[in-house]
Amino acid sequence: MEFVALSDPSVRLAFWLGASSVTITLILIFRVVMLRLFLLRRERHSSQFTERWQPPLLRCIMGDHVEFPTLHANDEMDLIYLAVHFHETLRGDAKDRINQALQILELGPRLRSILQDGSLDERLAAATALGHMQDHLSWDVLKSLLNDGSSALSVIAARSLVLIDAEAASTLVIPVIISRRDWPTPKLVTMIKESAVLQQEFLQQVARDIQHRQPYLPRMMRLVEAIRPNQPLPFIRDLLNISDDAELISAGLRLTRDPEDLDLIRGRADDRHLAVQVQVASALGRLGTEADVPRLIALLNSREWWVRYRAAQSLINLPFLGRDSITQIIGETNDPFARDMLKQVLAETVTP
Amino acid sequence: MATASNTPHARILIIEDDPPIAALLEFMLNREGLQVIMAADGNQAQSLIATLPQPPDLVLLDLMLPFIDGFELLDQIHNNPAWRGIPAVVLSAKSQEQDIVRAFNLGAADYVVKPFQTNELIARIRHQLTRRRS
Repeated sequence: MEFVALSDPSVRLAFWLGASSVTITLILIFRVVMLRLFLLRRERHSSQFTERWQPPLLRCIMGDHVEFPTLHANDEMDLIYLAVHFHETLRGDAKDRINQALQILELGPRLRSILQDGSLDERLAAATALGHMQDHLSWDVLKSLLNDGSSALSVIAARSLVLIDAEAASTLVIPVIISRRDWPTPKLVTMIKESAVLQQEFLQQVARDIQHRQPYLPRMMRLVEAIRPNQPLPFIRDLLNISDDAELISAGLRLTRDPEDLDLIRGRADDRHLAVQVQVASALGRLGTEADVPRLIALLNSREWWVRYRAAQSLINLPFLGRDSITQIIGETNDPFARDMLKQVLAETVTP
Repeated sequence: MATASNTPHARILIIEDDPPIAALLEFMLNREGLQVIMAADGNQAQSLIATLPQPPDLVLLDLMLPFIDGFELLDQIHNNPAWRGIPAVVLSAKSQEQDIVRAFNLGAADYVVKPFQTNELIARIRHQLTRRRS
């Protein structure tokens, strides 16, 4: 049998291709094994951490006297993450006891150091923990983080400032709420909702912005809607009186809760923007009187499907209009689209 | 005030996918002298609803669960003849009116929003257990 010499170029090529494939395969196997080992080590550490720290922390949360074990450096971040997790899930005495535990373990200085030098995840956890601990010593660093490039870190810093001292934080945070369009709305809404002081200051700012017709007002109104304040909003009246922007008027109409605003709502029933008419139909459904039935019937004849739909919903949900009255309106309506819409909404609202 | 002696050996099914919170709830309720059965996701809970020989005295459940959400579980509890009368207390971060209304429409007995107060949750659970036994 004759062997092909290694000097043959095609055999050499095949040899090196084979050798390279084997090498790459070995490297990949090595990487997979290392990753698996790393994962196993992390899982083992995590379960050891849980075994060592969760029981005393749970007893502490429930108000028992606890002797904590020695805190090793490699458990420190895990403990901070766990404490933050409980901070975010608990309130009242339980939350105070987590703060006591962090103080007993002397984690305040460490958290302040992580806030400046840690990785992004670590800084987020440290900022959150310091806020919940109402740590005044971290005020200046948190304040400087309001303008950090990371929107996640800056909004968490803002929330922590509010948790530490809502009154002092409001004057710092509200201008940044206006300027930082990158802050995620759900985080902003949570921050504003959980502090009555900040919410009040924020609503006063919106009232001033309406008077000055600030260009960023639509975004502020979207926030007001997301916050759903449980209080009268007198600035809505100003907005409906002075604005000619369909988006702002629609937002204002969605926020009307006061029967005294009825005339302003009625005044927008013939608005040229169909989006505004949709909101007029909804608002009349919430606040309207018997005098508004003809208005809603007129909106029921709109060429826009959503206006007809909201008008039909409002008519059917008016507390003083019974099923007979609705049947009468269906019978007297000439527009087949309006009739169909009333029948559709009636079918949707039938309770089983 | 209700105490552990009002509700001896009451069994609570906790449906919570967040391990630290599940551990806290289990610790809290054990400490109150209540027996606890744990389900870590919607599938486990569904399987327990189908197979437990005797239903628990109360279900404490989260709404955002893997595989099957809490609303679906509430519906299953409500439609299972053996489980229908079991009070279900929802413990959820969902705080919007429509979620709370939906949970009550599906038969929830009470609704506690996270972040929650531990003592308040215990009091609400005690209240439901006392009502069930009276």
